[in-house]
Amino acid sequence: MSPQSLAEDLAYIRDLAEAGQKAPLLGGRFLVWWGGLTTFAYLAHYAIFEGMFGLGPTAFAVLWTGYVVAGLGGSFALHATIGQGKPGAASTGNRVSALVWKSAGLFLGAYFTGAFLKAVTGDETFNPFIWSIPLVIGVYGLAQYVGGVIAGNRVLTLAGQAALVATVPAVLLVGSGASWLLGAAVAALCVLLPGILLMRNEPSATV
Amino acid sequence: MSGENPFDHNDIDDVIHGRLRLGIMAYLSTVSPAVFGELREKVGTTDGNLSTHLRKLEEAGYVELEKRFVDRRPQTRVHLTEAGRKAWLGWLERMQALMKAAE
Repeated sequence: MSPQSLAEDLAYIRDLAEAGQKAPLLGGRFLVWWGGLTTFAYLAHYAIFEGMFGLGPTAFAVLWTGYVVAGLGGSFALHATIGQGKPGAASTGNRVSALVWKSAGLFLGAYFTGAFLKAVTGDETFNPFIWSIPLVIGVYGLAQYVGGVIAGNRVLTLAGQAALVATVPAVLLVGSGASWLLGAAVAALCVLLPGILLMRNEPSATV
Repeated sequence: MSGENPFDHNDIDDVIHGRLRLGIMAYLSTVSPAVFGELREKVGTTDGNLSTHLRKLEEAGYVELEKRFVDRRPQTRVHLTEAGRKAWLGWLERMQALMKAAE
């Protein structure tokens, strides 16, 4: 084994190790689904909030119930289409990304369950729904940033950073109609758009 | 032992120390399980050649092959075992010591 052949072998295995480390992320369809749905829901909430269609407060309940049903239903349907032959499906980036989004989903689910129960009991000392926007934006930022850094994906990293920064105006705007517009913009630019880009870069399935 | 003589070739794991098997182990160290076709494309070889080398790694207990059907098509997934990861790290350490001693 000459030093040259050893150096070539090491360069070869390094390339392969990096190929695995930088495997494309496969969760783009989920970002598109949830990002698109959340953008729509926030815009609709804004429209109702501003009284654009003459809809009463019950429209909020209909909107967000529909959001939860469509979101979860769509997610289950997408799981069936993701395919188990995509290269890099078991890469660290894909595993971490899936785990961080699952954790984010569970946390938001728990938060909104608590918010719903608080609303049902008629406790009006604090409205957890209007404070949910900075929280949701922050969670989106965390998830995108972690996934982006682990997978070496610059778009996701930037999207995560942008969402984290947007938490500041989101807190400042809490309670105003503009906060829903900000939420829609963040969902579109930091979740939906990166999701579309990830889907475009997805490799074909293999057996 | 390598600690006493870093140039002793007997300490180098022959099962891993073939170029293609090095590639397989390197990729599996970051993506496990990997689909057979994915691994074939990454290491740049043929089905037959990859099967031959995977069999050697499997016999050493470094990888496990899982056969299943996805959308009614047969699919083989290759898992890096704990013994395989340990052997891979051992090989990297051995190479590191060798290069350090040669400096």
